[in-house]
Order: sequence, then C-alpha cells, then structure tokens
Amino acid sequence: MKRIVKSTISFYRLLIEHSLKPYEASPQHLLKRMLLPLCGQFNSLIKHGTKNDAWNVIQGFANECKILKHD
Amino acid sequence: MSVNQGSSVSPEAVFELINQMTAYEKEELSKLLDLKAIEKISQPENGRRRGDPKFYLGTTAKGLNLEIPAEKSANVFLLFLKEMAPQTIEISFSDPEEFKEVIVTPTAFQDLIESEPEYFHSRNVLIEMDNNEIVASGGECMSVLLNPVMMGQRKRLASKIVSACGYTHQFEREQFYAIVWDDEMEIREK
Repeated sequence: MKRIVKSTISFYRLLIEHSLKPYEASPQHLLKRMLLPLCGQFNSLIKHGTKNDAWNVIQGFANECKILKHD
Repeated sequence: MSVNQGSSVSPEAVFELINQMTAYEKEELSKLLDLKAIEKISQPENGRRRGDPKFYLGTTAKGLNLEIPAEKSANVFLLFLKEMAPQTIEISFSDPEEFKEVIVTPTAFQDLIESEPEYFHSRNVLIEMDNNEIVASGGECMSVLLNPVMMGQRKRLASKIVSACGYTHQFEREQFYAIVWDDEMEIREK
C-alpha cells in the first residue's frame, strides 16, 4: 500500500479511536490533532495521488468502519 | 470556543475555560467558586468527562491510543525504538505543503530524537517500525497499530509508556486505560 494512502487511513483511524474513548475530547483537540491533519492528507492526495489511491483510501476507511462496528 | 450561548453561559463552557487556566489561576479561582460543583454540573449525561486530559493511554482493537504531554514524546519515541527494535524506520510527513517520505536507520532516528526532542511537536507523521505503525499528531496524540508480536506484549509496552511519561502502573488485563486529569491516575482494566 502506498504511504500516502496508509497515512491518510491512519489519521482517520485516530479520529475513530477518539470516538471510543472514555472521555470527550475538546473541539479544539479534534480540529488540531485529527481534522486538520486529515484535511492535509486529502490535499496531498489530490496533489500527488492517483484516482486509484483515492479509491484505496475509501476502502481503507471502510475497513476502519468495520472495526468500529465490532469494537 | 464561544462561552456565550444566547444570553446565558453554559456550565460546559465555564468548565472548559477553567480547564485552560494555570494551576495558580485555578487555585485563586477556587477561593471564590466551588470548582468541583461546576465540574459536576458540566459533565454530559452519558457520563463521559469532557476536555483534554494530561495523559491518556488506552487499548484499541489493534493496539494503543495515547495522549501524552509533548515534553514526554521524545521518551516515548525512544521507547518505541527500543521495544520494536526495527531494522529500518519509514517516516511519512504530512505537511500541508508537501507529502514527504524518508527511510532512516534506527541510529539516525535515535540521533534525531536526542538532538532535537521537539522535532515531532509541530509535525503530523506516520512512523513505521517493522509493521508497527505509529501515527502521531503533533507528537502528543498517537494511535499505535501493533504487529502480532508486539500485540502479545501490549501490556508490558503500555506499562513502560506509563513509566516513560512519569507515572507508575503495571497493567494486568488485556483491555485497559489509564487517564490523568489533575494529578491522580485513574485506571480501568477488564
């Protein structure tokens, strides 16, 4: 798997994991630590990735969602 | 965050502002207000406390999730290096301007951390060490995906991370979390 794909999926996983924590992180934390990095990943993907990379990212997101359902 | 909601101020917003104060400011304010009472009424109905703890370590489906003080991140990266003992380290930098990938030796990685402990503080990175994946946002918010070998040593690794961050606890069960809001560490294991 290309690193740009793996990296984007990783930041999505970080976001999912926060939803399962025993506390609710502040909106600032979610924005700074997860959403902004994820937005950066999307921009990198548009600049440097391919359509196939984008599809692989969506598949990776779907896999992370499965983990969420079974957690 | 906006404190005003219409003409009133929500207890959650007040508590969040108090959380952002220094220890001295909190101490001074506690002479005027019952901070425990404000904390109590600011908690959501689902019982989950709101805010950002000083420290958090918890198990996930495939590894660990961490919130650590930025000043301890160098210790934790060096601990990962020691425990995972990778042949090479692959780092993907997710800077807004550029996506960059580098492969470094363990020695080079150690030198980098030791010479510049704050190197990862302003960076968002994915660090791969022998099929262990560490995604680190600003060096303090991390998700660690462990390979099967390290997964078998998760309790031991977690206990060492706690120690690297200046606390003490030996985890005994498979699922757990440790959280520090003020000074005391709260532990849950199942």
